[in-house]
Amino acid sequence: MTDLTLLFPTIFLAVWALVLLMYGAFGGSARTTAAFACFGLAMLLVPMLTKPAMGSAFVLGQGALLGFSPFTQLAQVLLLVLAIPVALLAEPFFEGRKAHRAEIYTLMLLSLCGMFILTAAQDFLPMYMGLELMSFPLYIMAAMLRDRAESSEAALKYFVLGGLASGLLLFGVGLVYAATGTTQFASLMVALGQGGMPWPLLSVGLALTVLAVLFKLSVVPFHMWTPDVYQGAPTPVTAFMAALPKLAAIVLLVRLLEGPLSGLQELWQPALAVLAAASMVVGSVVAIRQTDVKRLLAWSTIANVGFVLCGVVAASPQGHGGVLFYLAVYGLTMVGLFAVLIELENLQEPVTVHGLAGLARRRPWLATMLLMLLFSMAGVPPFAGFMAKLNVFAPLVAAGYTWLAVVGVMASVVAAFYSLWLVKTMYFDVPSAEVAVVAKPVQSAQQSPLMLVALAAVAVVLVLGVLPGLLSNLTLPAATALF
Amino acid sequence: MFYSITLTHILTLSSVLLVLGLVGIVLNRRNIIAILMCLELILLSANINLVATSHFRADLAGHIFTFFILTVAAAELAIGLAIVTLFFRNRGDIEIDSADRMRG
Repeated sequence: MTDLTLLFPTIFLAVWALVLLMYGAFGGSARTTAAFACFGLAMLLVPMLTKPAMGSAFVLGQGALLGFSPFTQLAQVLLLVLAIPVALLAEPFFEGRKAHRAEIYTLMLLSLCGMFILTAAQDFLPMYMGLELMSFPLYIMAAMLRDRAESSEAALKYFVLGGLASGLLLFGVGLVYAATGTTQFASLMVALGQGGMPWPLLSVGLALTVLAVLFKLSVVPFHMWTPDVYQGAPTPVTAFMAALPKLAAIVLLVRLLEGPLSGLQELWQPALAVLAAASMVVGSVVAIRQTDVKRLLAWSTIANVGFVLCGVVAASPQGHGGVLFYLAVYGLTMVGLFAVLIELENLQEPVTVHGLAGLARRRPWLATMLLMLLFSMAGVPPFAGFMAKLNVFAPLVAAGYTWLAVVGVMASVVAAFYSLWLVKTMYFDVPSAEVAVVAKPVQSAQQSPLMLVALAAVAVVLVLGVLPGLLSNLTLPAATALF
Repeated sequence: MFYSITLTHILTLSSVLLVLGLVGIVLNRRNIIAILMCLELILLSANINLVATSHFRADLAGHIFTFFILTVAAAELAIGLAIVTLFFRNRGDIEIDSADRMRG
C-alpha cells in the first residue's frame, strides 16, 4: 500500500485548485480568490517544512511511479516559496486591465501540482503526466488577456511548439519501451547496465526524451518559442514561466541523467556541455540588441539556463546543489524584476529599453530596485547572482570542464554588459519628449503588493549575496541525496 | 503464404507517421487547424509504438500508457482549439503567417 501522506502536498494543491475554481464559479471575487490561493500555498509550507516525506509511492515491480528524496523535497519547497510572490503579482496587473478572473489562481495551482509530480517522477508515465499538467495551464494563462492579439499569439506559438515537444517525448518513450520493455527509471537503469539492447532504437528514444525536457528549459537550439511567449504573455504569467517550470524541469533532468542514464555519462556530458555553451553565448549576445525589456529578459533566461546546465554538466553533488541555488536566486530575481515591470506598466511607463531613459529621476525608488536586481543578474559581487554563478562554475572546473567555465565567464561579461546598459539608460540618459509626456507624474501605488514583492526580492538577493550559506547549507546536503 | 508482421514493421509504420506529422508542421504555411491535425498524428504514432510493443512483449504497461495519452491528447486539443478560436477573434483569420506580431 502506498503511504498517501507522501503525496499530501501534491493532492492538496489539486484539491485546493478545485476549491478555488468552485469558489470563483459561485460568485467569489478574484481578489478574495487570490487571498485564498496565497493562504493555501503558505499553509502548505508548514507540513512540507516540518514533516518532510521521503520514500517511494506506487511501488510496481523493480521501481515506483514517484520517488521523494531530500532533493525533490527542497525543490518543491523552493517552488512553493517562488509561487507565493508570483500569485501576488497577478492581482495588480489584471485589475488594472479589467481582466482579473479567479481562474488564473486555479491554473497556477494546477501547474504547480504538475511540477510537483514532475520533480518526483520515477517513471515515464508520471513524467509525461506531470509535464503536461505543468504545461497546459501555462498555455491557457498565456492567453489570459483575451482581447490582446499578442497574448493569443504567444499562447498559440507556445501551444504548437509545446505540443510538438511532448509528441516527440512520447515517441521517444515508445522507442525506449520497444527497446527495453519498461517505462520505469529503475528497470531502465538495470536494462542499460546489462547491455545488449538494440542501440539505434534506444539512443534515438533517449535523445528524444531528453530533448523534450531541454525544450521546456528553453536551451539553445530549442529556445525559439521563448522570446515570443515571454513578450506576448501577460507579465505575471511571464514571471511564473520564468521562475517555476525551469526549476521543476531541471530537477527532472538531473534525476533522469544521474539515475537511469548515469551509465551513459560519457555521452551526455559533452553533448550537454556544448548546448550549455551555445545557450550562454546565444542568449547573452542576442539579448544586447533587444528593445523590449520583456523580450530582453527572455533572452537572458536562455543564457541563464545555460549557466544552470553548467551545474548539471559538472555531475557532482556540488554541481547539483549549485543548480538549485542558482535557480532559486534567479527565480526570485526574475519575480522581483517583473514586479517592477508591472508597476511601470501600471504607471503607463513604456517598458522598452529606450523608454527607461531617465527613470531614476522620475521614479527613484523603482529605479533603485531595478538597479539592484540587474546588478544581481549581472553577477556583481555583493549580490546573490555572483554567488549563484560561483556555485555552478566552481564544480564545473573541479569536473575538468575548464573550457566551459571560461565560456561561461565570458558570456557573463556580455550579460553584465546589457544589464549595466539598462542601468546606464535609467540613470544617465535623457528621456525622449514623448516618454516624458506619456508617463504619469510621480504618484503613489505604494500600497500595492508589487512593491512588497520587489522589496522582498531585493532583500533576499542582498542577504543571500552576503550570507550564501543560508541557502547553500540546504542545497548541498539535498543534492547528495537525489533519490 | 503470409508474411508475419513483426515489431520492426510497426515501428517503421509509426516512424513514417511521425515524419508525416513533422513534415506537415514544417511545410504547412496556411492553416493552423492543419497543424493541430499534425500534432494529433504525432501523438498517435507514439501510441502505435506503445501498443505494438505492449502486444509483442505481452506487457500491459504500454496499453495503460496509451489510455493516459489518449485522455491527455483530448484535453490538449480542447486547449488548442480554444486558443485558435481566440486567435481568430483577435486577428480575423487563422493563417500561420498572420502570427507575426512579435519578432526579433
